[in-house]
Amino acid sequence: MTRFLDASNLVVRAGGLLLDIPHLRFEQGRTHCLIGKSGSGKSLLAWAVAGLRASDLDIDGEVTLDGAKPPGPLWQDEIFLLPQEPAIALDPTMPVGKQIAEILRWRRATNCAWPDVEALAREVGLTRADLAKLPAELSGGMQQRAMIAMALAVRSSFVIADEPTKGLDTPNKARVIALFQQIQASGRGLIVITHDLGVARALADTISVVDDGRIVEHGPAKSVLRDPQSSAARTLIESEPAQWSFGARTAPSAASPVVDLSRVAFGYSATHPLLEIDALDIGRGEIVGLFGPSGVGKSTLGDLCLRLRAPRSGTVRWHGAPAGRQIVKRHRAKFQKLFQNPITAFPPNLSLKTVFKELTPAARQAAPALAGLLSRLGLRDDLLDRRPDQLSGGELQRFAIARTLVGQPDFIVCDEPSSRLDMSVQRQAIDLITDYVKDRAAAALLISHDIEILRKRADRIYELTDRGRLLSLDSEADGPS
Amino acid sequence: MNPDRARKVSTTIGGGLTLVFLVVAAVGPLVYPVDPNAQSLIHALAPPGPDYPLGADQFGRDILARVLHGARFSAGIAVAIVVLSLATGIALTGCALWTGGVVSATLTLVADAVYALPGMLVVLMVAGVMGGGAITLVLLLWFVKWPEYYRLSHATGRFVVSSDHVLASRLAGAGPLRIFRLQILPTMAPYLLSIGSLSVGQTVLSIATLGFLGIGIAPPQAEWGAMINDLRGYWQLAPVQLAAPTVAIVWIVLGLLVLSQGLSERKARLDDAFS
Amino acid sequence: MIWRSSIARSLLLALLVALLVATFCFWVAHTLPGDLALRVAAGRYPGVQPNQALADVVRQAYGLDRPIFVQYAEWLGQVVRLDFGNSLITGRPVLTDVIPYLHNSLRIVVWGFLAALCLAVPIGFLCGRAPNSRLDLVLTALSATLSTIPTFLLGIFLVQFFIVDRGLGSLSGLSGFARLWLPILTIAIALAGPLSRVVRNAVADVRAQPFMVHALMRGVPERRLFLRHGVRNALLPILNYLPVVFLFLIYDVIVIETVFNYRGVGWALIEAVKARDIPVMQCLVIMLVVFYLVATAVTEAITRLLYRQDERR
Repeated sequence: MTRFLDASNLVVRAGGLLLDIPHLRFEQGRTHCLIGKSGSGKSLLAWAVAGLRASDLDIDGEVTLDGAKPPGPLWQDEIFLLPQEPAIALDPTMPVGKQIAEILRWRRATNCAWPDVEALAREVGLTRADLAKLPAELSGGMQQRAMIAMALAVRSSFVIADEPTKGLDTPNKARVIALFQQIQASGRGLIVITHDLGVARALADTISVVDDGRIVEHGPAKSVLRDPQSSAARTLIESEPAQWSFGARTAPSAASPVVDLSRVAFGYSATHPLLEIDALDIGRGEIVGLFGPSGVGKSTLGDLCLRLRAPRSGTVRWHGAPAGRQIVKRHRAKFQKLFQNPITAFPPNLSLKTVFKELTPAARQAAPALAGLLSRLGLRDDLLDRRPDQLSGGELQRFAIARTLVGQPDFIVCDEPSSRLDMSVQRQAIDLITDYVKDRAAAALLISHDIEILRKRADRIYELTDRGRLLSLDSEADGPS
Repeated sequence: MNPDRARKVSTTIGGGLTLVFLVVAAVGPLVYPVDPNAQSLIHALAPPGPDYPLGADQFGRDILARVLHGARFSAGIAVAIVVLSLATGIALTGCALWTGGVVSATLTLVADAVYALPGMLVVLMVAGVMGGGAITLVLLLWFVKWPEYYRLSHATGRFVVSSDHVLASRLAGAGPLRIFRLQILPTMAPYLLSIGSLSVGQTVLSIATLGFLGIGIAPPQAEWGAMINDLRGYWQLAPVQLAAPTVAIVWIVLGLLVLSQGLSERKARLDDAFS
Repeated sequence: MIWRSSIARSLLLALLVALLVATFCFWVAHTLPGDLALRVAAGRYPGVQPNQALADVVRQAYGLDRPIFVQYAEWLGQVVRLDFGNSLITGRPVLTDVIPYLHNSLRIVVWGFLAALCLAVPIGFLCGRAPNSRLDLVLTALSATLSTIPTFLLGIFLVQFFIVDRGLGSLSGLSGFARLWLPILTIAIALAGPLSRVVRNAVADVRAQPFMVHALMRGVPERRLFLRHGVRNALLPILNYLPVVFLFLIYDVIVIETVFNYRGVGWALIEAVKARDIPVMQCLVIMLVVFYLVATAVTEAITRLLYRQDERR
């Protein structure tokens, strides 16, 4: 018989977040995805349904199993939870293999196909050597896979996964999705909480769209994705990079590039450089895309272009002149960066007014320009009196853009802007920057681990390989021509 | 009790105890202008009475006056030491963060070495042999204490310096002093305040211990540890006289401990804001 | 690679500390007011009235007229060979005088440290298991108050209460339970205050970690949970704190031996400082520092082995 979970009149409060669900049913053997932008309260659901208690969590309502009240909290037997950060679920002082073995020893499923830890680990692509390592010695993707190995073997009818692909690059994401399909095949009920529509498309039977703590849309996956009814769902689907329209293209110009790197090597040891860039130049009006898996040094390359780091050998030129101390000092305000996370890009203790007045010389010199820029970005003046934690992610992102653009830079590095926020905010950020670049004939380096975004916005695309080399992907940049 | 209220209560109680003590230390000797060193052997170990509010010691010296002057001595020295070390630690942190590289590494190595030094042993030896006095004590304790502040402020500072928001300000062209004042210092301040107030208390304890051992404090300077050592043989004869400096020590050290607890809870809240 | 360099840094630090202390020792001897040669002469020839002529002879014989750096280097060489010279008071070689003190001190230090662990670990564990319970609050208040009382006061109270008022023990002699139990208890109480707090926080922190709930989710039985996943994690902050405990141990031993009039290293150090017996003082200070450095290094080595700390960076 298939089991089912019912959540009724569930109200969860944590800090300023609120989740209010009149009724929701999860069935064994089916996959239910909860999608919604970050901050919509969907992560609270995982805790509430599993029956986990936390000091700052206030849960009301009832969760029943097969229509009856379960004897104990569900996480003890019926639900296995994959948390957002796999690292917090693992004992940092115990080898990962021993922790996976705990499942086999104490909570092994009767139909578990794997005889021992090694077989199970092989299934998720972990080697024997990996099993002997401590969690901190594994990458985030490997930790996630170790958790999935546990979910494959555990004697639970349901598995809840909270943002299972967060922070993973495309290949790792594909791998995790494939493993989740295996969990599906084992006949368990799967509840996936995600803001990534790709994950939902690949896994979901049913989709609930969460917005502002409520379920605004609910239905079979195909119909919700193809024909969304609510505005929240529509925004979510439209801001997916695959749905973006192509941006304007700029042909490579013969004029001298804004930034160019020649035979640049960077690394902490001379014999094993992390990066070896033979040539990279970015001309006026041009947007160069930089693609690559996480951890290969994309951000480092961006910092080299900005001379926030010094190369071990080779030359970085700005406007054709080698960017030495003097040149950097003179042109600093013209070579800017838009940070990955707008929340960490502002000092948490200062109001934005202080940031612009005291810590942004360009804004101090051109107060009217700043006022104009802010109103163009749709930011009211009174928001300036607030601190970063009193603004939404989207507002803060626009302030970050204002700070980047106020000095009218010639070159901007966009380091996966807002990749931890929603796609809609991310798109807004990228569009504002690319529009600026095209209008002012500035140049930009757009860094992303999402090739789709680069295809839509970059004039040329390079991949940074895991050996630290650049690889041109221009044949793939099949624009509308 | 919820942590927010616990923090407020801690700060209020600790701050209150400390404030009362500091006021007493500052104006006490003025309000009660009795010479702490005036001996009168016929009044040796006199019990508390109208002439001697807290009694007299074995040389007939007024205990209340000695406790008050002792407060001024200990509190003055302890505050001077902590303020000096704090300033040194912050200034050197500024240098290390600004220059980076070899200077920073060297400073950190030196600070680590002095920090790993059993400092009181050095103080004991040098002050003991050279005879001590307030200035020697301040200099010696300053020397062994500054690394604590350097290490703390450097650890938080280094973390903040590599953060996105400092990098963003550097990119925007803001000056290093401004960044230090507005972005780096406010992050370190709560930690430093909490450790600083705790450290004043510990310094008072160290001074009392040195006084008890008869090292570094030249008689007849009124000092609590030395008073306790003088009177410890007269437990039955002079209980009040012995209790007075004891209570004074526990008062100020406990006050500062509770205060630093309150301040460190605030630090924890700030940590949340930064994560 | 990093592993090696991190050990190298620890060694370099220990060396620097030792050198700093040695320099202080030497410097103190040479900045002392009065003629060094005269003092050395007094120690060298105990029976003779020290005079200028004798001082000159000593100055020549000991090379005290040579440049200070030469003397420093030579002195360092002697220290490394454990040759600290003769005591200025007894005239005997320093090491012969000091070894018995060391022996006496080790007796109360080792037992005191073990007793402190026996007090602090159970108390801290009980508090950490139920943070903010009534028991925890009472013990927290107690240990906070205890840590504001200087060790010498604690010693004085205990002596007064147990020995003077009740006659449970003695203040003379060098061994025997009656003589030793109270100094050992004093050390234990003084150290147990802060140590129990550290144990308490370590246990409470680990129990609140999400990985503990997830271990239960993996089916680890509740009664085995702490032993299996808690202990190793809780031990790390405690091990990291031990060097501070060793530091306290050194300071406390000085104070407690003085209070109890117990002829150990600490007592001897205070006597030597007061009598300006420089060679003995130098030897004792260096001995205490070496004890501290060795104890810290052993702790660090254990931590490295247990947690593979450096490989993870």
